[in-house]
Amino acid sequence: MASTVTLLLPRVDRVTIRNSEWGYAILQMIFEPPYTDSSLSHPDILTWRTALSTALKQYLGLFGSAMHIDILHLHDDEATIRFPRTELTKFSAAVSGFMGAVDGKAFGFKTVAMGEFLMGLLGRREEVDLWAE
Amino acid sequence: MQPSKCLITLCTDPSKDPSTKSILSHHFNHQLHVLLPTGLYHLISQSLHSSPALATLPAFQRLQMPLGAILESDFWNTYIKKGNVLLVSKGQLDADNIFTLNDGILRMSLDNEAYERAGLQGRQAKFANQPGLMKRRRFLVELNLRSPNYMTGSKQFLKLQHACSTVFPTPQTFLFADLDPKPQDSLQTPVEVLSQVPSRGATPQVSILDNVRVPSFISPHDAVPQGGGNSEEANYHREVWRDWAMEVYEYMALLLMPEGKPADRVRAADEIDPYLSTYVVGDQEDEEAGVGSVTRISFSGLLGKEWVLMLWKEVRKRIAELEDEETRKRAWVSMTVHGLENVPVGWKEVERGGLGRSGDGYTIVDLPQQGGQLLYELVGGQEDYS
Repeated sequence: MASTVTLLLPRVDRVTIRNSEWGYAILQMIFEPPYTDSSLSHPDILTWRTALSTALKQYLGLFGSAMHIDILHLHDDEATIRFPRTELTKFSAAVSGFMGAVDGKAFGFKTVAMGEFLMGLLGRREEVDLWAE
Repeated sequence: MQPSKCLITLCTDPSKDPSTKSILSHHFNHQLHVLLPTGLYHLISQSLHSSPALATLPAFQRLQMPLGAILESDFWNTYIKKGNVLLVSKGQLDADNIFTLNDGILRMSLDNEAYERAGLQGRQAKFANQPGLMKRRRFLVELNLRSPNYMTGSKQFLKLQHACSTVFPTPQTFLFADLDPKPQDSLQTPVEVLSQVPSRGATPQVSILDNVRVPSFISPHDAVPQGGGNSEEANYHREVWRDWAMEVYEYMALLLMPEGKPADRVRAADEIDPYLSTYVVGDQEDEEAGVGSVTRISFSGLLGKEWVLMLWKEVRKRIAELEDEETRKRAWVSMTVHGLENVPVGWKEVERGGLGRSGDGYTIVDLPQQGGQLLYELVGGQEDYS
């Protein structure tokens, strides 16, 4: 009964989140030489999934290809990705060192922002526009 | 190194308002987003758009100037001694030399060489120096330019002027915002560096996000942020609350994707294979969740804390003034503010380092059904704030 009473009392509670469940990344897919037709340089979600699987497998072997990934959003040549926070370092290493080939072009990932809180990454992404000419 | 963290505050006491304190201790903001149900937006939009916060939109300018330009008499007297301005230079914290100015306090985050050549009184940077190494890499100089020691021509002033002309003579990119703008004609001579570049206003961008999934914003039954003792059950309830709070935070971010769009995964029509994403809006047990329309009002620029507070109070006031009690009860509204990451001081102007950050800023959510107010504050790994 006592706990019900405390719930009803108006109060201020504070909690610190250090070990969040997820990590997030905003990645850009870069082709070299670049596509001249911009519609081709905006990969679809299956292309993203396959490319990420390849990158993870190449760097981490079977464990990498089994890593849980959620593709939350696609915007032009960018993808917003969610994965377990505990894999953040591995994920970061795997995508930054990756170089693949498709269509006679080399491709890789550019990290726009990566970290524990998606909201923070969005701010970092927008800040670039503020300083741009 | 510590990882970055997120502080969550739940306030169910209407007489207290922890968000005001947070808004006022966060100085350099560059993005502001308000999210609310579209139905609610239509009810308050007319009075909101004629409110003082939206009548005086903050403006900012991007300047190319050497640091010494702030010591020119026009700039110095108008903006430093009398007015109140925000000024921040481009660069990365703990990698470049960064200059910021707020409330008359000039801060310089400098590398060893620049610090020694400048000859200004400062202190070792708290985070950028490796412990155990005798040689210090970085220093922080804090000068209160409004103090009487900085009269034009005084010893301190000349020292700063000398440092500017010998160590920092090259023009660099600054963002500048006048937080206390005077009507144009009261300034007899416009300050030269400012008259050369156009001023950019933070015009609001309103986007309507139709057909998105919306959670109920009601925490799961029995879930509590704190208290309940050490039993396994109590631990479970706290865990459930944390997960719920982080889901709300994640959902807010998913409504703030680039170009005023919601994320693909929150669209009502989205059917995605679990191989590509397992994300779902809200808990399965969240019966009140549904499909709706959310309005997003976004501002970008260099936004002063006073204006941010004014806007937030206006929005909340408009909702509190609604006549229909049922509408008021079901209303939810949130505000997200993103801060500049290169500023050497963070929350409450406490020094911070450049590494281990996952963004900068805060989000406030007014929950429906008297659920109280949720506040999320992002704190970097190299930042002492709790």
